[in-house]
Amino acid sequence: MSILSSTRSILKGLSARLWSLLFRETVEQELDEEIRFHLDMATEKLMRGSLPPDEARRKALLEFGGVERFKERTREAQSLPVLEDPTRNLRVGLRRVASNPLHALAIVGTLALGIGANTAIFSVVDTVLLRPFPFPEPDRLVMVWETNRASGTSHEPASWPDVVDFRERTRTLSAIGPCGARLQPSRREKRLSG
Amino acid sequence: MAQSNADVLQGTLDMLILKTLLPEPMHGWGVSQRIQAISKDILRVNQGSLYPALHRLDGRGWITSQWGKSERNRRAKFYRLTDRGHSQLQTEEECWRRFSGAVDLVLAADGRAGS
Repeated sequence: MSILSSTRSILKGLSARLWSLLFRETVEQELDEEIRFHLDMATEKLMRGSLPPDEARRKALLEFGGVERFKERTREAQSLPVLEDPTRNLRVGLRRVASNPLHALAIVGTLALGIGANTAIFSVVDTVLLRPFPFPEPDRLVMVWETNRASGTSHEPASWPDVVDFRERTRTLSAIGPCGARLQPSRREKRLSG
Repeated sequence: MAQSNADVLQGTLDMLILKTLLPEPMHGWGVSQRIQAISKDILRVNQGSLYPALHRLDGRGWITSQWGKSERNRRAKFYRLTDRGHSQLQTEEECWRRFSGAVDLVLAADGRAGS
């Protein structure tokens, strides 16, 4: 197939779809009429096979296999999916929710848990990894702890006099300040200073 | 055959419709009846796929549709093969013959390797 003719076929398909979008009423009516004709013919044929009229009609409908489903499929074959899918999908979605609320609830629950877990993890990652430390030149910042030589325990808080000593005598650090200080002197601090 | 009739094989429906419309324009009901009759009731066209297929072929420009009068003077939609549908049918027929010939060859092989 040449490029020209394939382009022409695409254009023709597109214009047919556009047509059916603009004149949906007519298209629907024609579709209805086409199906009705088919069902009538099928009914007649069955009646010739000596079935009573309503039985023949029922069988014809049965053989057709779901008129609504078929109309849906035919519309799909001739519609512009991009333009009408959102509203139709929404309608179908709502209908499904109404017909099976438990299933819908399970899905909503799953989504809620998923979104919740994500938000929780992200807020941790955000503060720990992504946000810059709220001090200038954070790479020069260190934390100083004391080690108790007698008991061997490290990461001990320093007493205020120690902090003052460190601050006055340090050559490694440009400045030292207390953080998380307890202003009320504890018993241990009292003993140290006494 | 274990089953008295078979649904039309997926993918061959388009070709069968084009072929059926080759001699003269026809409505959907006529197409389904003719396929069934010519295949001696072995092939049965599922109506739920027939009309979507007709509209699809129409959209591709292989057939066109027009409202007309049926044999018994009822309004019906008639489908007619276009020139492009004609050449499409030839392509699909060729493809099908090659394919079914190949399947026949495989089925006819008697199990001995080589020939």
